[in-house]
Amino acid sequence: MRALPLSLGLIFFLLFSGISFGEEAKALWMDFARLNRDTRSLCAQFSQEKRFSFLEKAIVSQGQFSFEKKEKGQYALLWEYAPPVSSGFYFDEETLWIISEGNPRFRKAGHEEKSAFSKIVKTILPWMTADEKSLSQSYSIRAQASPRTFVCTARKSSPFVQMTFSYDDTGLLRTLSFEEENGDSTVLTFRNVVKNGKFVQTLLTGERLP
Amino acid sequence: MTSFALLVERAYFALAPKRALLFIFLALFIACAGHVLSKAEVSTSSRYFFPEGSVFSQYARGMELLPLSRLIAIEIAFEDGASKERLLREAHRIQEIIPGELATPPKSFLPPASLFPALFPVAFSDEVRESVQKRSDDAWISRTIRKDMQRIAAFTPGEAVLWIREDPLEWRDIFLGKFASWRMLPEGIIQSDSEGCFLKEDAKRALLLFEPTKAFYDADYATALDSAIQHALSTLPKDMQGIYMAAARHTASNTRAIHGDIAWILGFSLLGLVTLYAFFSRSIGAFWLFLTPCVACSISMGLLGFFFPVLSGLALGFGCAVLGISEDYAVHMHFALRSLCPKEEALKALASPLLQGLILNATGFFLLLFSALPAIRQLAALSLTSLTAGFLLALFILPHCPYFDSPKLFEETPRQGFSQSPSLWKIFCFVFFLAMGASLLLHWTRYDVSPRSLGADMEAIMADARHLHEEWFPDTGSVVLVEGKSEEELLTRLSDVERRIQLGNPKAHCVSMADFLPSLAIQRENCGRFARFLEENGRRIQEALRIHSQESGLDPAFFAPFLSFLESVPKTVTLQDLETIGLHDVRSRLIRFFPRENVYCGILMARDVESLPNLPEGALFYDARKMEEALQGIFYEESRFVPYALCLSFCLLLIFLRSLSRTLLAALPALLGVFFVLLFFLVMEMPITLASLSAFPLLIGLALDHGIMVVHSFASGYTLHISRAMVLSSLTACTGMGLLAFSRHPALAHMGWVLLIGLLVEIVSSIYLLPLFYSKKVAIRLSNDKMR
Repeated sequence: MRALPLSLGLIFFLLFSGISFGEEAKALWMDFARLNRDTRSLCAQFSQEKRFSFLEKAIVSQGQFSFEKKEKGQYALLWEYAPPVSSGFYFDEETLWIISEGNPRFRKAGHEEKSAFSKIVKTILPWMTADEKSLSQSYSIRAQASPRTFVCTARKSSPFVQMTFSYDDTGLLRTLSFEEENGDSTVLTFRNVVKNGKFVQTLLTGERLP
Repeated sequence: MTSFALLVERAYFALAPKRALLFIFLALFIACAGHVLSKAEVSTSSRYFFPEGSVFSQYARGMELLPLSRLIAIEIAFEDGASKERLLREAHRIQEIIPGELATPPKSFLPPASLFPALFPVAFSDEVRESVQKRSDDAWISRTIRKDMQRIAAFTPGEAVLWIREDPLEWRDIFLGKFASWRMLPEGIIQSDSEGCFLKEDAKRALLLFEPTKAFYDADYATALDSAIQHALSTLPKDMQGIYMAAARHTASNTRAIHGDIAWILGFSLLGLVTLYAFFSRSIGAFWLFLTPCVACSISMGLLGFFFPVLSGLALGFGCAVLGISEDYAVHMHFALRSLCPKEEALKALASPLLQGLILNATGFFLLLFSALPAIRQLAALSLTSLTAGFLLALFILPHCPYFDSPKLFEETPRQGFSQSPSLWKIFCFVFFLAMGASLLLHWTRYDVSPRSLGADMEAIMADARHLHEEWFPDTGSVVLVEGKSEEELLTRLSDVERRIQLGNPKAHCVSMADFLPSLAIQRENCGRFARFLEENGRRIQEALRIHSQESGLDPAFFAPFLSFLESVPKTVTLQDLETIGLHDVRSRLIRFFPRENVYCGILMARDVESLPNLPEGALFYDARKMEEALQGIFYEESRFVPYALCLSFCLLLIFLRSLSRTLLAALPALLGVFFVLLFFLVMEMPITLASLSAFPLLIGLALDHGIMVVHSFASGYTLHISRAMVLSSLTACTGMGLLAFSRHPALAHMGWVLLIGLLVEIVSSIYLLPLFYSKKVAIRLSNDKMR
């Protein structure tokens, strides 16, 4: 469950951050930033493929996410896995809700869970605020134009040694993948990406958000 | 004594033609001593003022294992008002400032997942078996596999995935639950987002916890850490304040105090010596006088390094002050040889009183060799060797040094007109009332044997520690220190202690290393129990796991480590194995091996203990109050050295002087010194501590030295410029040892006050008071004869 915010954090930095390194990468980033400058909210459905180094087959799950920027640096974020996983989390300003099976589906996160989530957010805040100096300290980033892809390699110790994301001509996110030190990898493929739409108010199973 | 005087005279003539060889030999000896000293390890720990003996040594060892000894706690607080955001901001900023190489956030206590198969069977007690049985039924397996699937599918990196693979049924909570539930902080404390940062509910105070990266007794590390934390706290805004508690703070304070004290005492002592020699001597001989204590101290410190593997910084600090007494004999020799008396006569006249002075001086230090305090024993050894070296230098080396005995001073004036024996009744009455007075003062004077008196800045350190305890760690429970000669013995005793506590206190909650790594005997029992459990349930659990994994859409191969664990043969685990398999951190928190004492020490933490049980051999409850009571007992034992020193000195004086009146007179400066020191302590409301008590035998020995010189002078009828020599030697002793009174370190300061006051009193009494007890009988008889 602690990992959920981690993957979401990557979305943040990918969407709303600035990067500084290499002229070509900078130009590509500026292009990406220009395409997403007016983005206030984002939602999409995703398919997640998780590969473990010790398993032949990948573990595949489906889900949805929704993000909304608010006043004074606040934000709301929903990340939900569809059945049979049926888990996720919902963060709105100061409150973190854990989504799980059963009844009720929402419960407030405890200190440890919130702490884990906050750690991830702290890590990706430089991306959200486009803090180029912090970013270039934490990552070395290589960009390629076709397809439009950023490959980020962590400079310091990090759960992920490498993260890669790609986007289309309109600046919409297409795929996000990250690799861990032990060889495990996760690939998220996004579809039905909607920019500046309404923040999702219900879960995939129909329950309303608290 | 006469034969000694003759020996000195003969040695003088024998060595005179071989001066060059003599000096070369001396230079080589000094070089060797310096080399040995350079290799010596110095410790500034106050532990050297803790008496040796099973209880105190165990306390000292246990202190390194206490949970709070292994933490650095920093509190920041608002003086007025509260703002959660500001508090958190400042707390995080302080965390960022503290360098990672000095302190790190507290680590999790849980061992890595891969150790689960090795550790679980050895901790498989009856109680654990019962809980595991409940976590092996079909309903539990179905529920946890489903939960595992959700965690894996929802992205769980690193360690969490490993744990799911190694222990999908969450059996680890059963035996690790004891540690996980052991919380240092009470309820109502909020953990902030940042690791190791906690807030009070009213947001007025925040606590930052760190773990040190090195041992707290590492002086360099401790001072670096202290500087870093003090710097961090100095950056707090004006409306906030910060304090901190760490074992290293005590080390840092002691180190700084002792280093500072040694530096300035050494500097001022040397400057004082140079000035005094120049003023009193006014000759090239002052150069040799100056060299004598330096050479004597170098030799003695080198010898000390040879006999003691670790030197106490406190003993060395005092050693610098010994500069002022090791030149005593050289000063007497210098002025005696500068008289018009022939050199051989001067040597012979001085040899016996100097030897007697050395023996009397050494008496006090010799008795201290039997002290229970390691620092005092080192101090005694240092002083003895220094005095002896100074004595030998004065008698056998200095007379050969060029210009040592020139220029000649003035005509030798015999002491005329005085009786050769002092008035017995006068001196007896004076001494009697003095002794009574000193006894009364001893009775009225306060004592302090607490650790406050043995470490620098202890008042502030203990006040901060007390505050942090009350605010953040009000219930740390009881700690039992357990020791054993082997790992097996230690682990067996830990289990035994836990069993005794639980018997008398069913609600008690105990935690120790033995809970997840019991003794080998218990491990074999547990492994056997686990093997039987696997025989009865292993296949069923494997089958259920496979079925429910597939139902949840998980490949059963995901749980391959756990499935093979269910088929494994459990084996015992030793403490060494823990090191090999990477549990060094966990082990070092609860158990440590002390190679010098060849003992394994462990701790058991217990809460909700209402009645303390009898503990087996090698175990004791850690209780600071009891330790202070035990120190009180040691104090009374150490205080016996004062009357012993007086009695032994008195007997020696009687043997040397063969006259009760002269013996009493020679002892008078020492008695006066002790009397006035006690009076000073009483008037200034200063307590007598273990350190100051140790200085009394030194004072007695030094004061007797001068007393015996005066008495000999009257007996021989020759002055040999003794007054001048005594004034110089006392002043040099004051600049050396007396300066300790102004030390920052309380132990050194207490010793310094005893010596400063005592020496000033004894020199005045030796020069001005003692002659008053001699009557002018010879002058009256001579004039009566003339009249007839």
